[in-house]
Amino acid sequence: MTTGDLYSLLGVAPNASADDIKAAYRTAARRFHPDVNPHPNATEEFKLIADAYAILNDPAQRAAYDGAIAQTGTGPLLSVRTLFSREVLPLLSEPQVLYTLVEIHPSLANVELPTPPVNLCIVIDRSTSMQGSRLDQVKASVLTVIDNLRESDTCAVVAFSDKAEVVVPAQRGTMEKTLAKAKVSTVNASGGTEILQGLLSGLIELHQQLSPSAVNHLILLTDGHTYGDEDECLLLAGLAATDGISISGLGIGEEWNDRFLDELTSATGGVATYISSPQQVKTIILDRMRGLNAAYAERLTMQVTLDLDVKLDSAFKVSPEAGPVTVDGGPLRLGSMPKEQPISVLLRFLLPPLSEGKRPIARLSVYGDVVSLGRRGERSVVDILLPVSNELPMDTKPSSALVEALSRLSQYRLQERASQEASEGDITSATRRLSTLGTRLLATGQTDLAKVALAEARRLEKTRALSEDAKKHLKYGTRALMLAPPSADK
Amino acid sequence: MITCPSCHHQELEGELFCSECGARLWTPGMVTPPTVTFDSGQLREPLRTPVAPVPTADLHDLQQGQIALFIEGSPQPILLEGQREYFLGREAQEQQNPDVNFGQHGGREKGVSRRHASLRVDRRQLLLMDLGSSNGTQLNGSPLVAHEPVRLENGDEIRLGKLAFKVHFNL
Repeated sequence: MTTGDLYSLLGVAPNASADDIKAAYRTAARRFHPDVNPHPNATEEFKLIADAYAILNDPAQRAAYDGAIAQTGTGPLLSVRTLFSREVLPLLSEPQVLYTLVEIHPSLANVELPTPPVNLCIVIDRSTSMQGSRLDQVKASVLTVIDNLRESDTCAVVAFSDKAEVVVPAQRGTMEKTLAKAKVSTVNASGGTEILQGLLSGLIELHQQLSPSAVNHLILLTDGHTYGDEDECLLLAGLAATDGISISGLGIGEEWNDRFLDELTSATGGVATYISSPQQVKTIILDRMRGLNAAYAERLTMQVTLDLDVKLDSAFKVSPEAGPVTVDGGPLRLGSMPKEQPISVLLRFLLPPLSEGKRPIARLSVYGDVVSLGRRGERSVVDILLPVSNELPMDTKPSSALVEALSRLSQYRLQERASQEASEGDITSATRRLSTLGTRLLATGQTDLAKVALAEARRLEKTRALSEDAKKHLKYGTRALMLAPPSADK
Repeated sequence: MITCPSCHHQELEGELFCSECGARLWTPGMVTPPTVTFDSGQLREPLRTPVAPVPTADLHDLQQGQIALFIEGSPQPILLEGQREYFLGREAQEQQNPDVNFGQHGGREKGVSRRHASLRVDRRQLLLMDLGSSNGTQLNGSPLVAHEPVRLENGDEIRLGKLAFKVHFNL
């Protein structure tokens, strides 16, 4: 049983009359009735709506529910805001696209909140290629992380090559830190890279202290490709997500498989980050730790129940980190939400030909554990419902936050298309696309990235292959551009 | 579908950036038209002369599915039929010519872009859309927002830059 606002399930205000509730129930039930709506989540939504109605339609139960809400003094702990590429949908007999920027904020922004405990495991690639400054920087960073552990935190360290070794078993922050640090210092580089080994040991360590009221997180540091065990890794990531564990991936240098690491982390709501030089390792790890320590809510997911004939085409997270979100019909995994920053996700819906009137597009149900308050399974529901009309208001202009995000996303996509084309041997298209990307980047004031893109376009023409260095630089560079500060417009 | 003004790639309605070249498919910083109501006839009068009235006899000749464009100063209307969408513009050297070429009507001098606007037949309605032209498109004196289709009525007056014509249709 999850907690949440019953009124929002029916789409009415808490002061709605009994008649309003009845009417809203009929509308909502019709929308999600399994006979009408084939979407796999529809049955569940329908049941939730029926349960909510059973309570709100009974004066005694409704009064008891209202009383309970008034007593705890909190409404939904996650507030959800939506911005659309179009406030009014044009009446068309052809398909159209609707972009929605969903922003999830803490409802209690200005309240002093306790910081939740962190259950952490750091998994270090110690293959031969890590030798030297890479491994040195990683070890130095881990030592600082151990120094900074609070008593309520737990931490484990695993090192792997073609086999894994638990360097520091999962322990409370009260552990003998000198001993743990000494053990980390002895890690040496040798062997190949088998991420599955490290991942498996890391997850076992996390399970020792797994807690629904903590931030359960695995940081994977690697500089290489893993071979043959990718599918098992992805399977493991899926299981980790189900257990409430998120994974972030830090890729050092040029050799690691960005596509794989993106997939692995996004399956858990985490993201992959590119570390171009060993000197950045510490900053990035400590940054990640600060993010984990400042979590407001964890394990955020968004269930998207689509209305008839609507498709969710893609989802991309633009805050607090930027990265693709897996769209596979299941809930979208959005990871961790810090106190100060909203989670923002850009959704692309494909709409069928529409007829005039109010058109429901989808119901978004956001779930999360508000770890800073020890509250689990919080839920907030928002409906996307837009008017369809021939009379488009003249002054419609998409919100600037949404346009900004989309503009950045389109640059990211250009980079993706270029590297796809280059890998398929279509050098002409890839070169042209990189030049276009360079021009677009210049136009938006991103001179440094623009130079990389243009230089790479020239290089590609000559060498007929992309350099791994420039490819990652452009990919994570254009992705980082999406982390624009949250805009205040409506 | 909408057409990218920069690379002519076709995108779905509602797309904001071209997936092919990243160009914006809408006009940034569009000045919001004032919501004050005023007599538009008065405003238009001193600025330009209205397009000559169309002989009513011609209108009855329109067969089902036909669209006629009556250009100011041209004796014969341009008749369109058989397509779902028509691109309006003027001749282009390297690129393909638009469906309706205003070149011989002084399109170049009057500020018609190579790909200026489109007319589209949709459910027996006619939709006009500016394709991000340099000098803009006006419908009965009001400027259009680029890439936002508007529904046309019989006898509406359209201006591509300074080139004016009236549109009649039987759909």
